[in-house]
Amino acid sequence: MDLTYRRSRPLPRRPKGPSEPQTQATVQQNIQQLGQTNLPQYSSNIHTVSIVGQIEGHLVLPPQNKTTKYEHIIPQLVAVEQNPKIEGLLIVLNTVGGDVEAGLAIAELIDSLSKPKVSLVLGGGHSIGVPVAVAADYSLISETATMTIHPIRLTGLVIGVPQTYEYLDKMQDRVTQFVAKHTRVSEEKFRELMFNTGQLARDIGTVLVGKDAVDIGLISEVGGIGRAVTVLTQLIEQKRSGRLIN
Amino acid sequence: MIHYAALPLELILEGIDDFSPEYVEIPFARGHIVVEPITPTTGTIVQLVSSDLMDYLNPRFQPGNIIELYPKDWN
Repeated sequence: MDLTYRRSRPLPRRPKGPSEPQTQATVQQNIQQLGQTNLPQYSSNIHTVSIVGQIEGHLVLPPQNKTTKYEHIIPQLVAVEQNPKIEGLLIVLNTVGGDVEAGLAIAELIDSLSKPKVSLVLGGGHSIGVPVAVAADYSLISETATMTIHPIRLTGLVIGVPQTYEYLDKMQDRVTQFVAKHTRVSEEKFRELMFNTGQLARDIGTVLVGKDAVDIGLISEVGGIGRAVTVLTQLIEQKRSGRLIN
Repeated sequence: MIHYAALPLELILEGIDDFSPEYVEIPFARGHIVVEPITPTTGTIVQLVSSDLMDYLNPRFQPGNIIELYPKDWN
């Protein structure tokens, strides 16, 4: 039944003038305040997690460090797992490393996620960034990005007993085993890269630039964001059709 | 803590002795937001503690975002 004729008051009129000037004003305000324009509203079935700077763990780092906080990434990954609208995860890495526990926690969560995930190393994916990068189903590295593999050093009070070395060795094994399990690089080969001399001026280890990481079997492919999204979309399609089992 | 990074540790930890940030906890319906005040009315989000997982996907709550310390409505 149409009730519009019964209205005692006329329908509210639209405010005069086009809405364009208002939008423009908002855009201008945004540029002034935030240095950016409004982003177009578009919801994607891919969620992106960017891990930049240091992976911050149990210790809040001084302000000169750019950090990615693990206490925020972890529930975010749980939310990705639970949210039915998200079908794939893209991890963009540009990290110098960070807390071993935090990095491995993120890597394990990415690995155990039931949805397709692709990682992309841009700039650098060093130290603890290596296990995070290889935890995805498919990993990419940009041509100029680097990955540094070096030994773990102890910090703080070091007690000079044989157990100290064994402890350090165990910590290193956690990283080595994770990488060996998720890539074509064997534990022995990874250790060899870790203790390589002659590449780093003030440390031992190996720097892998783009293609080197692929040749060695650490990363799946050299590529950029376009390729990463294409691969992820393909994996999502495979998952939908039941061909990809995680 | 074991730090595994390509940067020298003395660079990372420089100034840690003088670093004592003051945080404020802002409660909201599903938990609280830890904020570091930058002006009397605004602050930078440091951490989110929420019982709703979807809050962690909300760009509004991302660490580093500048928010009002006395919001009218946080839901």
